[in-house]
Amino acid sequence: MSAFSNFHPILLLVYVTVVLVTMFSSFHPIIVALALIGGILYFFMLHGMRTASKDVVYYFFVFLLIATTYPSYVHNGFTPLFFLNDHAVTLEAVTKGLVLAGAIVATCFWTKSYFEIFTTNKVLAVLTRVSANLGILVSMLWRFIPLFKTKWHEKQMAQRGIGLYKVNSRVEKFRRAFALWRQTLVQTAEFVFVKPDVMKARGYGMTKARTQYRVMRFTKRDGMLTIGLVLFLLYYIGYFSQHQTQYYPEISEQTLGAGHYVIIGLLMFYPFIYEAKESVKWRYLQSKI
Amino acid sequence: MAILTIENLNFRYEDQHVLQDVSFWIKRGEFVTLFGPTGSGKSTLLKMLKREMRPSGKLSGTVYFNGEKIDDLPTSTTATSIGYMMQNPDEQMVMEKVWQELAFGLENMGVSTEDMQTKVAEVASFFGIQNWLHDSISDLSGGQKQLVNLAAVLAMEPDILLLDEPTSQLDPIAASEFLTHLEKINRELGMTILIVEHRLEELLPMCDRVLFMENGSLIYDTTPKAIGIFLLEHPMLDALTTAMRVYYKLGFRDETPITVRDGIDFIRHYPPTVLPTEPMRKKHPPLITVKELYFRYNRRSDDLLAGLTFTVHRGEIFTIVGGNGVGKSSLLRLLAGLHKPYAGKVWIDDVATSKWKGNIILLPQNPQALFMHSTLKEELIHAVPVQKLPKEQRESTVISMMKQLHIEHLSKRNPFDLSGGEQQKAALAKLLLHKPDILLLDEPTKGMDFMSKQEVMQLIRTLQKQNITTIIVTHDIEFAAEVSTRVGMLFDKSLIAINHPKTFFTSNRFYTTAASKIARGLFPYAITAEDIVSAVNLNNRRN
Repeated sequence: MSAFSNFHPILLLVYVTVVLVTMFSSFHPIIVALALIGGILYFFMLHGMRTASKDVVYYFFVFLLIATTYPSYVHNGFTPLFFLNDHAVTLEAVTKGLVLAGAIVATCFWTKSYFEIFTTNKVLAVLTRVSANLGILVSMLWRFIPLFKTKWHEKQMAQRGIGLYKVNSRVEKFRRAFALWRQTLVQTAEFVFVKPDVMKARGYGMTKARTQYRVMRFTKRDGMLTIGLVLFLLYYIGYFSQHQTQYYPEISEQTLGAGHYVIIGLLMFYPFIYEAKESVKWRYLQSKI
Repeated sequence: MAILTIENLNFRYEDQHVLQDVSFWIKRGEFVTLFGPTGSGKSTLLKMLKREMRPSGKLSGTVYFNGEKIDDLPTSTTATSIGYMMQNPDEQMVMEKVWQELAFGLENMGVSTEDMQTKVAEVASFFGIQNWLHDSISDLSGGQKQLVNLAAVLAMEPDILLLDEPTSQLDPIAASEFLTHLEKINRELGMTILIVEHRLEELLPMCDRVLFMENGSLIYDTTPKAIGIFLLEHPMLDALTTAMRVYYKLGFRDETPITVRDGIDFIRHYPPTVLPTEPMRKKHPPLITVKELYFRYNRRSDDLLAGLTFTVHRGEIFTIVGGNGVGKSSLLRLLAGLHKPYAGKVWIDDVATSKWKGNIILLPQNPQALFMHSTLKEELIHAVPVQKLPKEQRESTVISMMKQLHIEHLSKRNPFDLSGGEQQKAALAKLLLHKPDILLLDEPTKGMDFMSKQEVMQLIRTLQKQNITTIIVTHDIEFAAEVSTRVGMLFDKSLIAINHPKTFFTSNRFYTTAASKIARGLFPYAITAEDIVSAVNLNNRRN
């Protein structure tokens, strides 16, 4: 279990908001790179080298796809690198494509990690006080993707077992796969929407004063960190709303000092550092025994 | 005092009368089994008793819980005091981790953290869950999931436990383990239990009362010892325990034995007889040859199958039995070409699986994975082979297939809403439309009542006459004993003891049918209740 995930759910939410908002509001190559690396490092911490590297390889291709498609469609910018079908592929568009791809992939990794650590009980802990129905709704949506994945895998296997894809035509194969995909989507939705009854049958929504088996107390430390994060966010949003990196017609001059990158880097790497610190602490304690 | 009283309960759904004038009551601490043919309204009756689970429809009659009308009770009472468990463990679970699931109900009740921790600790220790408290729900086996569900319901300290075929998705070993836990909570904690179930072999010895339903009416309300007398002329007699079936079929009408032990006592006074074994049938040429097969899921894991070698002949019904996780399902997928072995090969008619011209069709462990449409009829009409037929033939092909499996009355129902056994039959119908040459069945009898099993057995035998080869993977040894031409046991990565079922089950002492346990030492080669009856009759004729 991850040590970072033991922070209060509200703090966890504020944290990921700050990371993503900073990244998107700056759209700065270095900041996006920091967010991406921070996201991947934490993902490694959660899943271990072997499983995580598979995802990294997969998302590397997603990255390449976005990074190459973008400049071949957008031809703004001053500095042509070469020509493709009579259209200039510009340095500006290539750079923006890379940054865009980085930002999207970084978002994917952060979301994936959060799916892992932000469990249903955290969703309910935060939302039940607001509204029990909202708690049900969000926890259902939250479960949707992982559930869809398992169902999709199972369905694929079952349909291959009755020869669904035993046709020569590629188009027909694709058509069938798509029909199956659509059905899986509908069925997952149906499965997920039975849950409200089940949750109510088990007493959910009976009282708003829901208690917690694992107490999630909002400690002073959580409070300080939250305030720090919010101040950080306000400061940088203020800054970047004035100085967001512009790519067209020319890549804008960077005015941020090196110190800022260190601070932002620390923010983006925080879960990784925290996790690493905990495991080092553990090793150290162990060696003492 | 009655904890639950049901008076003249009627329920209509659209134009269908699902429940008709049902009245009964349950005493505190009683263990009551509700059974009856598939579609008799058992599950619906159970849902009427749990207000939150009631389907929409027209309801009349009254349900009293602890002397009060159930509709007048506050939500806090109905949600916590009436524990309810569903068929499919996945549907009931809402959290990601085991401990979260156990705590969910208590958190909803607003129990203080200290009390909650004690209660969760208690219930986890009682069921031996403590070692996997922090596991993900998705990593658990079906049996473990149902145990967690049971523990989570019990943690809320209900007054009564309602269970809707809780073992229908489990293999027999996990199922009987689950039922043993029920017996324990009934005996040790005095928990009142009302359970809808097909597995009477294990359940009848432990329950106090039996309710029998048919066509929406409660027909018999009696004790396990007495129920047989009422069912003498009814096909459901064969759903009772082996000892009871032998007793009644031999014409006795007094005090029936229920358990295997009673059964052994009862037939001990008959002289030993050896049943004549059937002459060996002429063997067809080998169809599937598996040679030195090695398989593992990934490089780092251990071998799941190693050095596996066997042959299956054309037209055989070959059954593979074995414990959980020994690789039975993986073996079927290997035969279907869905997995690749890392060494060794599967030959069919002396060519590799992928090059073979015939049709290999696999029934997956979860039949729901096959369904893609909102009614059963659409499901079958849209099956690939039916779509290839000319339009006017489609309808008739589908209808005749449904008739063959006795599911035509379900044609307008959503396949997902069918009971476990009905889903299996619907899936089988879809498979058979593909006109398989080799049929691979993964747990085909899961969740089926006795009558459906008989139908499936008949069906497989009919297919055998058409020279279709069937390979079955099952935990259901009673089914394996009756249907197969040969049985093999998958154990420690390889298939061992491949034999004729009579020899196979007679030579086994633990892993064998109830009938074989009863007949042990007295009637060798008797592995079903019918075998025992014919052995006794053979004896009588000789004298």
